[in-house]
Amino acid sequence: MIRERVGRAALRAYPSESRAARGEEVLGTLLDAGEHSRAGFGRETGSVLLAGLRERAALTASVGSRRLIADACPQAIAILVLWLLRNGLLAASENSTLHARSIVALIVLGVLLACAVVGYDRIAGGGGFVLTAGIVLFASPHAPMLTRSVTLAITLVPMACFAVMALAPRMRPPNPRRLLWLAPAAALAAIMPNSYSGGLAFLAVISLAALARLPTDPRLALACGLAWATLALTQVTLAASLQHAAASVWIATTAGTAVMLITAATRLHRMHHAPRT
Amino acid sequence: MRERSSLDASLTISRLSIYARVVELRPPSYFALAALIDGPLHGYAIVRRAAELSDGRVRLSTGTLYALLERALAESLVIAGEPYVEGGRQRRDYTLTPAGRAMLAREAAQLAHAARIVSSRLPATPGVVVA
Repeated sequence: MIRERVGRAALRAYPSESRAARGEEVLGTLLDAGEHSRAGFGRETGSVLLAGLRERAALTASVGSRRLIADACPQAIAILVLWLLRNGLLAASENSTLHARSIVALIVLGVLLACAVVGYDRIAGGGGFVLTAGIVLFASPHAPMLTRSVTLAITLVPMACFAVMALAPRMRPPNPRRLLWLAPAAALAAIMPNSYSGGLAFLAVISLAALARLPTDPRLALACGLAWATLALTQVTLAASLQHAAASVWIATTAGTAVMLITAATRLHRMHHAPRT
Repeated sequence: MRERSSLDASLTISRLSIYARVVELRPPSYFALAALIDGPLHGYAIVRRAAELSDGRVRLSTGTLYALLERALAESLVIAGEPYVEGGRQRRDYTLTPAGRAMLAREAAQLAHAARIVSSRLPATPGVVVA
């Protein structure tokens, strides 16, 4: 009975369609093949777990590298918007003089994020592209920190992601229930310390989750790489133009960018060259 | 000189193509399909039969078995029967298709050819004596 439960848990590594089609049959063979010894059962269970993960990876790879990269863009936008909303709310709670334009921009970004999560990628992508392009074009010349180059550094990656969302949207039927996915991410953003490093910790936790998911799906890792790249570009530009950024921050964000982008790209490449049995 | 290098290149290509054809099916897939020559079998029976046929050298794990059966189904080398319950376990019998038989025959011929090349040359040459 315990073995059956363990076997069923291992079967969860398979994609749900495969599990429904032949899960019971695989379980029967697993129980037969592993009935003679505990070590044998352990080996068989491990093989089922690995085969399930491989099948998941093959299913992910079957959509093609271009689609996977395009899919990472809305995920990167979701991470960045949550990060911005978190920082915006923190700034609002600490400093009541948050610029009205910033508040409007944050509300619009929140609405665009909701659109993308529900399934309206093209609307979110188009709207986000116009918004970020507007921020670059009409950057306040009086803001001490937001020089043209810093504004461009902040918006460059998001603008590219919004453009990809508008041009290559995920073709999925709209479903408002997907908004529930934002709840754990928003909760994570909320419990992090009230500082810039708290924001980095938020991104680091999501990156760890993305690395755990990497064997079967590199999209979240790629999205994290893009999010880190946005922060790194901003920090490096700040350091170069205003000597404002702390060295530890730009080093951390640059390292985060390199780790996530290199691991995601390596996995993406390997998924398309899986060995034969 | 140019002739020599083009000869080397053609030999390399020919060796590679022979090698690629020989390993078209790796041992797990080869013996799993070979297990079905005598008739349809369910998953665990394939595992046991493959071990018998290979003198215990191929021990198919459950995960490997279903991965290669899935590919064989996709390539129409086998067909799967309807699921049934036997001894409290859900089973499904797999049958080798004519395409699967043809592929096994081709594979066996290539392996035999590759084996002949080596076995005919080994006795004819003295080899290098290592001091």
